[in-house]
Amino acid sequence: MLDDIDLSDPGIVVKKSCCYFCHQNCGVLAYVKDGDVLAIEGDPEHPTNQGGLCCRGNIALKHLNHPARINKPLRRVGERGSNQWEEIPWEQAIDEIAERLSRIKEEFGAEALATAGGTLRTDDWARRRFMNLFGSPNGFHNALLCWIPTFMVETAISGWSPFETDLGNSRVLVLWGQNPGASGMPGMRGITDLKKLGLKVICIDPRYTETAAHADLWLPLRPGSDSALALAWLNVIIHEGLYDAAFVENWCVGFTELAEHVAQYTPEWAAPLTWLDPELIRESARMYATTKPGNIQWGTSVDQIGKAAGATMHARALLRAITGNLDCPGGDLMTGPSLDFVTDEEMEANEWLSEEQKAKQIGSDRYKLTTWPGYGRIAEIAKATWGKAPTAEWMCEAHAPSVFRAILTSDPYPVKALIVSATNPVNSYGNSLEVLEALKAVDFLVTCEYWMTSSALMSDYVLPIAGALERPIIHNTYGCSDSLIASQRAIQPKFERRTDFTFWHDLGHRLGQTEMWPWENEEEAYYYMLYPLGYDISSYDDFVERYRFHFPPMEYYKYGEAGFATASRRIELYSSVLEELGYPPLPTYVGPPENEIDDPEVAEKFPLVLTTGGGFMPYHHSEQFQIKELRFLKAEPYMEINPKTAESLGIAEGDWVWIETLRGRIRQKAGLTNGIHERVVFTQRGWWYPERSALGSDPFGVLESNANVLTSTSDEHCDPIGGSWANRGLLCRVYKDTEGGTR
Amino acid sequence: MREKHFWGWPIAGYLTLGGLGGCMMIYAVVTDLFFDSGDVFALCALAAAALLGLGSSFLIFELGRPTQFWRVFSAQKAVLTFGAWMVLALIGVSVVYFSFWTGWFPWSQMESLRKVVAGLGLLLGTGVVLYTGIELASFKARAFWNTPALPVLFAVSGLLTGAAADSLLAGLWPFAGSEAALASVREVLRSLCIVLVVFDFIVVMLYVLMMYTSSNPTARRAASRWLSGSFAAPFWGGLVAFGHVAPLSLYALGGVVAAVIASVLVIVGGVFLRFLVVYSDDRRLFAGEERYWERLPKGDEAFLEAWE
Amino acid sequence: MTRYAMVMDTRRCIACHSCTVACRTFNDLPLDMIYNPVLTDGPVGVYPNLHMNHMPLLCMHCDTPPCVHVCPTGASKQEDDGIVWVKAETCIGCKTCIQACPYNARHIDHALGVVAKCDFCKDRVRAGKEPHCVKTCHQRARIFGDLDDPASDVSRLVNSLNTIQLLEELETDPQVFYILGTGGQG
Repeated sequence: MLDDIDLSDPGIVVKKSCCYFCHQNCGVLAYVKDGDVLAIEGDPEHPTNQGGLCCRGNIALKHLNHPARINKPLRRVGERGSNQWEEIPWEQAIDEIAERLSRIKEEFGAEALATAGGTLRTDDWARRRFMNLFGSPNGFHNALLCWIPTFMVETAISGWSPFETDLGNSRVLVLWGQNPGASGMPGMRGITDLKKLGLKVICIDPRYTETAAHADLWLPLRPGSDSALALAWLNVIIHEGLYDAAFVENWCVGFTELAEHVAQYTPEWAAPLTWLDPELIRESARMYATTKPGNIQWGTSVDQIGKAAGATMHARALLRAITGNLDCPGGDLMTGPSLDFVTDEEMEANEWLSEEQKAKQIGSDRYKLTTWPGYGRIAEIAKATWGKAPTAEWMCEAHAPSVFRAILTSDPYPVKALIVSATNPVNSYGNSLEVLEALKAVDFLVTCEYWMTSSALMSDYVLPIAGALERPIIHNTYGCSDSLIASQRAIQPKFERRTDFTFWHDLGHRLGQTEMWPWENEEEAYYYMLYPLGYDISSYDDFVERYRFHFPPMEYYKYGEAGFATASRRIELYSSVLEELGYPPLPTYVGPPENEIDDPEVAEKFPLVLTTGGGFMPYHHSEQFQIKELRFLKAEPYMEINPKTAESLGIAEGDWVWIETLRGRIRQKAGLTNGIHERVVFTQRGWWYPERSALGSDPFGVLESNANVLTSTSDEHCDPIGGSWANRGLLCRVYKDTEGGTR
Repeated sequence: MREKHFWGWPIAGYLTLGGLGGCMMIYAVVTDLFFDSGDVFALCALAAAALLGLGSSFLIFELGRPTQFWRVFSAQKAVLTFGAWMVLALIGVSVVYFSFWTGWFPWSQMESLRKVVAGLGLLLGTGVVLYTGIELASFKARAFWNTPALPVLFAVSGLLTGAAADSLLAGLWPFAGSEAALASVREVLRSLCIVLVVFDFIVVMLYVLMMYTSSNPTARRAASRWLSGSFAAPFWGGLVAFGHVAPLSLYALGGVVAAVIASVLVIVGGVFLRFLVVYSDDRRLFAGEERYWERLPKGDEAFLEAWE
Repeated sequence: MTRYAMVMDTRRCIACHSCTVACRTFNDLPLDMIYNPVLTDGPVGVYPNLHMNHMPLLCMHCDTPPCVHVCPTGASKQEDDGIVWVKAETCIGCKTCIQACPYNARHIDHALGVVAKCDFCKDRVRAGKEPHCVKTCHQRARIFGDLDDPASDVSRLVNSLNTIQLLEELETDPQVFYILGTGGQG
């Protein structure tokens, strides 16, 4: 254990590794002897966590050495889903997979292969590189739920998403559907420290979260009604003259059109839609606009409200622009891509994917901004400005639900193979029932995993993946920031585990891509990427040990010289990119994906409003449920319901209840709380029961309490602009579980 | 998976037996020292030693490390240490005192020596009867116990159960007197028991009511449980009805058999009392504490064993 | 003299339970043993006017520790620097100390039959490091140090701020001091 380590022992080496259980990658010092990690602790010198570690960081060794980890490649024997496997060597597995993919490509085309990913913890440029060289445009992640549509909308408007918040100089922070108190510990510490110095915090969240309790203003809006709120803020700021007239005059396009457009979106109009008091809407808009400079920090929620997502992001993005809070000290900065090191996009070999194949990207005909049509245009503008573009893996992906449906229906064409890496799709993609069906139906399924999940269970091959402490990582905000933090691996992967980079590399070698994979391992690739920075280093590990991170100084008013990276060189409140793609150039009002005004028949049967997807300790999506030390603290799923509502439904604290939508139903325990509106309920995400049987209709209980059984991925509920499906702002009903037992 | 109580039936059992044994011995030696009729209760001294021994074995059984029990005989200044020494000493003194009455030992006829031993027994007995109540009363964390009234409650109950027990054993051995003398002793004991049953009932009710009307919400919570909550059945049924009302009626009825049954019931009542007190170890919970423990696993969940 | 103490800034705590996990993981505790639960009171109030408070608990290492005075074997000890701990070899598991503690800080180790509790990570602390729960806290809500050193953070905070001691009326003089906040907006 840590306290038994004798640091004077010459056999002990200290490695500057990182935590791997969310993509903040807090610094971890690993004490290594004879190729194994004896102990870990938080790295006090790491800029992100400065020695602190959350629940998950602390159990790294439990994860590394867990008895249920998959340690050897598995090949299915017997029926799909029967959990019968034979262990085969890695090389053989890769050979067989490559062979099968080759045949599928021959018969159905490269586009018949799709890949599914999760929340980073992988070298996604390697995945994209492989896919581009293979010829398939159908890679995807949960991108559309997590920042990417926001990034693309904001980039379309101002040239690069302004995600670099200069909080140290800020005076007001808007947390729009973000709860760092439960999921972004380092960020929460920063906010807490700055609050003491006077930073004002506005928290927009239907729930009274850990973060809301620290805010100056809490706006508990109706889930999914963010569009109305954002438009009302625009209305207040413009019509009360609180906008930065000089900035708007000199640097924005379309202000007159915008002002006219939002005149109708008064706080009184927004109040019944958002369930917020009009005075609170005014007060909060004024607070943001007049407490300068200020930041609007992104949270996943607006990416998860389905059809309202794109329009809302657009409106929200304009708030920064008209208040002049862009690229100024204390505002939201647009770093642009790094010009000093090799970006992820440059590692992706995008130029190798033919236009013909790009056009086959599933979903690109409908959801244009986050697929080749939109990404292509934005990349073009970015390259004209900087010579570099945003990362394609993430920003330019196939539409996941459409791919799952293509597997099931062969529309627009058959998808015959799926490689799942670093995700548990049945848990984490919308409409679990449809996803599970697709996994069972796809001809060829390969999963790269730590654990036997319900998704891995359906595979033909499961490959053992190396994770925390077994791999290095460059933390670099999806390849889009100009800074980076580097961590080294503590040990080589144990058993037959390999990293995802090795997977794509090895597969690439088998499929004729050898010359395009000159790096044997991550350290070589990362060294190649860092080399242009000009540090005097002889290897990647050298960089980690001696420098650890690269933070270029913050630059303000970069637009002063050449304007913004848009077609007009100005901020496009009236967006030319969106217009070109066939979308409204000004943000329209779009109601929540399911709501009582637009869907009254649905509301009659399902009178409560559902929000889901919010993170909570100690889990991260569907991870950590096997770690007993963590599971002990939250052994059962708890949904949140207002006590008055619970009483009217005959529900007491701790009762098992069903939460049902048009898609399906799940059961969780009732957690009565004052911190939520009487007509809103919240279900925890990620729940499955890995201790249960793999067999049967509900393997590992993945359908029993999993919020994604309730969510919707239908085309009518998806955002037409970016394709986000609907996790929040849905209609549901809740009733006590009198049936007892499991589902 | 948190135990609701840290002390269980062995402690309740010991508290009963400790008070019982101590008081049995007190009556025995008081009768000897002040009423010159110590021979009536000679057997009581041996029984007291046996019961104290049995009670001590409960204590040892209850320990997390029973084989280490001897460590309690230390030089620590803890009440429990003093108690342990006193119980040990009392067991020895009781056996020695009894040995005087057997006539088997050279010291059997040495009356003054016997009276010295009796005096020691009186001191130790008093100590044993009082120390557990004093100890539990010292726990400020346990609102239902934290009052000087607790040693009083235990002492009165001890005196009652002791009297009942001694009345059962009176004259059994080696009593040298007549049937008439024994009958009159029994009569005195019966009257004493009647008085003590009433007195004990009053003391118990006052204690519970004191807690019920306390300004301390934890005390009130525990007392409510006795009066109308999950402890109501053992309290009203066991302690009050079986332990007081029934014996009182039987004593009043008269007759040897009735008195015997009454005495047994009284002792059973004493057991109920100690159980109810031991399980009323309520601690003041902090805001949010109940919900925290409620949501933790109960212990039978599959994931606890799943990946060994 | 050194007197170790802790200040709990509940204004900063967000009940992430990382301290609980760090303690149990680094001290290799049995699964059900929790030395330092973090409680949440609330949200309290009438929606939408609410507040919420978090209360991390642990052994208070009291200046007048009732758990030490009642121990019959001397296993429960308090050192000169104030740290209260249990010497397992001497403990017989009578659980009297558990009954005596108002803070629920003591626990039975069922496997060993002895009482176990937080000891402020005494070996780390005497080597100049922080207890695990303090180090792991991202929010820096736990401050640890020598109360007798006027230059230490704990000394400064305890003296210059209005801190409270839990269950002060029980007069155990706990050496964990709580800074309470408003718990909500404004």
